[in-house]
Amino acid sequence: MDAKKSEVLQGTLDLMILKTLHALGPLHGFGIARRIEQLSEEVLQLNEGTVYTSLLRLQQHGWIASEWGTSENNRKAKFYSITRRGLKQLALETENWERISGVIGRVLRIAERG
Amino acid sequence: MFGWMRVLASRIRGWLSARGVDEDFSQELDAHLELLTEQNIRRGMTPKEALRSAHVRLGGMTQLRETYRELGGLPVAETFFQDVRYALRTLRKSPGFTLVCVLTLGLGIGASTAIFSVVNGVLLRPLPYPNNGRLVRIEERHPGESAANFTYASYLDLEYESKSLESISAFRLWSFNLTGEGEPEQVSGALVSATFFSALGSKPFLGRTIRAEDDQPGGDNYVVVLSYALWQSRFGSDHGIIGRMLRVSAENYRVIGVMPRGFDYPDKSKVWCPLVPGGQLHDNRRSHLLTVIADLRSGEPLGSARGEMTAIAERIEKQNPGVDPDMLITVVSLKKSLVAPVQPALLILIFAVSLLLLIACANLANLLLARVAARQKEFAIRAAIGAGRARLVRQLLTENLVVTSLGAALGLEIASQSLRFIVAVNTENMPRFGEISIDWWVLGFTLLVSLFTGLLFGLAPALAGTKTDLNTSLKEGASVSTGATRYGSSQALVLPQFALAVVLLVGAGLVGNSFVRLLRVNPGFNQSGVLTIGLFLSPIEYPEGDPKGPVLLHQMLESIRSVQGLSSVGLVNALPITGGPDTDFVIEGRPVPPANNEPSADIRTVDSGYFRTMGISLLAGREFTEADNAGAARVMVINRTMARDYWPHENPIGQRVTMKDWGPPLTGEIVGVVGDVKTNGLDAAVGPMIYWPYSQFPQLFNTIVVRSEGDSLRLVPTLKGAIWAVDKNQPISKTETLDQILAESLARRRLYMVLLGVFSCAALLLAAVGIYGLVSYSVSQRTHEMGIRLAIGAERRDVFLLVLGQGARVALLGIAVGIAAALALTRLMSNLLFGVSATDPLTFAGVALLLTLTMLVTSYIPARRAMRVEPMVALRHE
Repeated sequence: MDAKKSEVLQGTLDLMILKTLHALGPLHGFGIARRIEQLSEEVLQLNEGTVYTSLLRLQQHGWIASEWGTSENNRKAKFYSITRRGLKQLALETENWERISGVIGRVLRIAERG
Repeated sequence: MFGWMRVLASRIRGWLSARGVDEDFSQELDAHLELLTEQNIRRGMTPKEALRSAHVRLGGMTQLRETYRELGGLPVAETFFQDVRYALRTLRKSPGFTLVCVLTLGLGIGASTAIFSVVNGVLLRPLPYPNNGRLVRIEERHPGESAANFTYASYLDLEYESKSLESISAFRLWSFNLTGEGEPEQVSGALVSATFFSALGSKPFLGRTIRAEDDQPGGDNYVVVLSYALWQSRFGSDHGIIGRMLRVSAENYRVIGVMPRGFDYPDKSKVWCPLVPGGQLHDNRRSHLLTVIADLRSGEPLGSARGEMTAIAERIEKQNPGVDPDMLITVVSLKKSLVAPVQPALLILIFAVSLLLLIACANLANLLLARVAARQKEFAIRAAIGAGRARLVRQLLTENLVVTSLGAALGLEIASQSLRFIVAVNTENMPRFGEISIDWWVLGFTLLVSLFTGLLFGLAPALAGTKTDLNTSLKEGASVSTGATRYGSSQALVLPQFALAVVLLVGAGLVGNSFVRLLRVNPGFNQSGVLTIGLFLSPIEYPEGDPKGPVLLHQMLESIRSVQGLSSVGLVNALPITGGPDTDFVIEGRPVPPANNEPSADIRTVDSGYFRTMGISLLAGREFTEADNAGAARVMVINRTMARDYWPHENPIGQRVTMKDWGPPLTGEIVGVVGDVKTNGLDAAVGPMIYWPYSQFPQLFNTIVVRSEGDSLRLVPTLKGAIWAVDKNQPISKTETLDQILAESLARRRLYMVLLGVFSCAALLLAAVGIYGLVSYSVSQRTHEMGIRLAIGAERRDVFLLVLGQGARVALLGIAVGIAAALALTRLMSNLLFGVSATDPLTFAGVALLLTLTMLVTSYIPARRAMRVEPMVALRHE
């Protein structure tokens, strides 16, 4: 059950990172982690390190790209940005989620009534 | 969809630049950690607390880095390369073992790849002509004879009647004299009918090939097609060659085409001219001169074509009773008819080399098993500190794969070198040898064999070796029991090695014996110091029956006689050993034999100096003299076999014989009897032979023979000059010594002998290695036991004999099995043998003795080691 849970969480994390980069533009790993922390209101109790495994996976699929740059406090940092393919994937996944959540919502309402 | 491909690509990239990726990520993590720490400090923690909290928040760094590395690269590849590096290190530590393994496998794979390439190039690969799938040879056979040629009249009948064949084409081999520009040159080629090139399906490189109009009497007959090689060598690859006039055999021919590179059918032809029917040689049903090929009509099976041929043969015989009796017409695929002479031998070679490969693999298995057993302790320890069994097996397998790969690489090198040697030495005499190369099939075969060997003989020991019970392996004295079981299995492998070595050595011994006997056969003439020069008179300048021919030859002989350093000179139309024309004959005064039962004899035309030059002895009567010329009474000389067969109790001198197959019947009186010569080869029986004086029966093909002291080849330019002084346009074909001709006739046998000899030596070496490995391994395993025996009072000599006895038992049993197998198998090669029976007891005994000695010698060293063991050291040894 733990493995499944972490898979689902990883999947969600991937989606959240894509969304974050889409909405806020290029960010480095620390910035992404902060933003996700804010968004999820600390519901997701993952180690921050897992952000990097997500970032690696997203890079391998070609949905994000990376570039070395300078951070706000003048340090060398790797910045990630979403790619065109990533945008397509984001749209696809968003649609998926909305469809699923719609279905589940309807199912749950049915169950309540019965 | 193809996301996985993108992921794989980026993982390969990541694996290749693993170090860079690692460094980058470390930097990223450090930066992240710093930022977290600073954030914590801003929130009010102490620097130490801030750092610790940051670490907790980030998660385990080492774990993270490892996960990142695994996700970003190819862990499978990494472990594989790790294993390979480790394997190379371990193998380098035991160089003897590695060397022997690699050599063993290299020999086995190299030999089998080489022979497989030969068999592939000659037997398996299709002929290099576009129509090769349908190409057949039509043979006209008569019972009791091996010839397969057609007469022209029968060929016409076939063409007219056959429905199952198309592009039926006839050809005959011919020699052409090229004169005019450059040195007069005689080249071999063929006279072909119009459908020849379309039967093969081969298109010309330049120009066109022979058409139907060229082949009709009265048509454009004087056209010639050149081979690529001749176009290059004599005409300098001149692209304007089409339409040029050449002087061929004293007539003007127009070049109409050039064939592509490598096309030289039949028999290394350099030119092709139209066959042009007509002339007495073509209109009869007795001169079997033509080879006939055709294509099967598409979809037509060979069987129905054969049926049709039988019907046609019957019809021909019915319509022409008695002329060419007992005619049989058969159809075979052209490829089969070309390779038939060598097919049995090649199959034997394949068998031999497969045996060798088996021996090599058995040896390898032995060595691998022994090595695994010796490393039991190492595996036990590694298992104890945590290596999974799968990991150990994988590593052992990698080790074995590395060894087999090295062996395969060596094998491929050995194979290509051997092939180069085989082809270079033998292309003259073997069909299709020019087409042999290492091709993809062969490479695939090699790879398959080495993979199979590596997996099969590596996996089994690997699995067995890692199935360790930790306790027993680590305990002392354990190796004694495991030793016994280990060497039991390798005993089973040594026995077949010896058996197979026996079979190969017996084969080589028999073939070698045959060869030596053949060398001792008396050819009937004295070959040392004799040079031969071939001449082909142009049929245009010296037509048959015209006295100009003999006059020219006479002048040339005189010119040559004036050259210094010659002890005698002679002339003949066909040399011994290489065969020649024959004829049917009738003896005057005897009842005429029925038409299909006439005796036949070889026929030769010679001058007065021939017998003396060749060293052929005169047994009765006289030789020819200058007086036996065109105007004088017809005389002949016969050989001893003819005299003995037909005049067993009377003197043949004075008898009269008529021969009929060469135009109008010729009758001559026998004036002498000479000794037999080997007409068709050293191993062929001798038949009757009739000699005519060349001036009474002139021939177009002639060979001048000269005997000299010293190196006769040095005289070639002077002799050529003497010939050209008489006619500067007379091309000269091969100049060879009789020694060379004899050697060439034995070339095929020599090749077989060398190949089998090499194989059996390799097999012997491998068997010796096998026995050595077996005995020395068992000694090392039983050192403990030896120590005990010595400690309780055994003599050192007893220990020595005990060890020797182990090896001897296995080897002798193997030899016995091998002899039994050889007895059964050698009868299959009886057509390769000469003067030796397939079960020659001397050969068998010799081989058995050789192998026993080998076993004794190779067992001696480890046995001595056993004998010298110090009991106290041995008892402490595990």
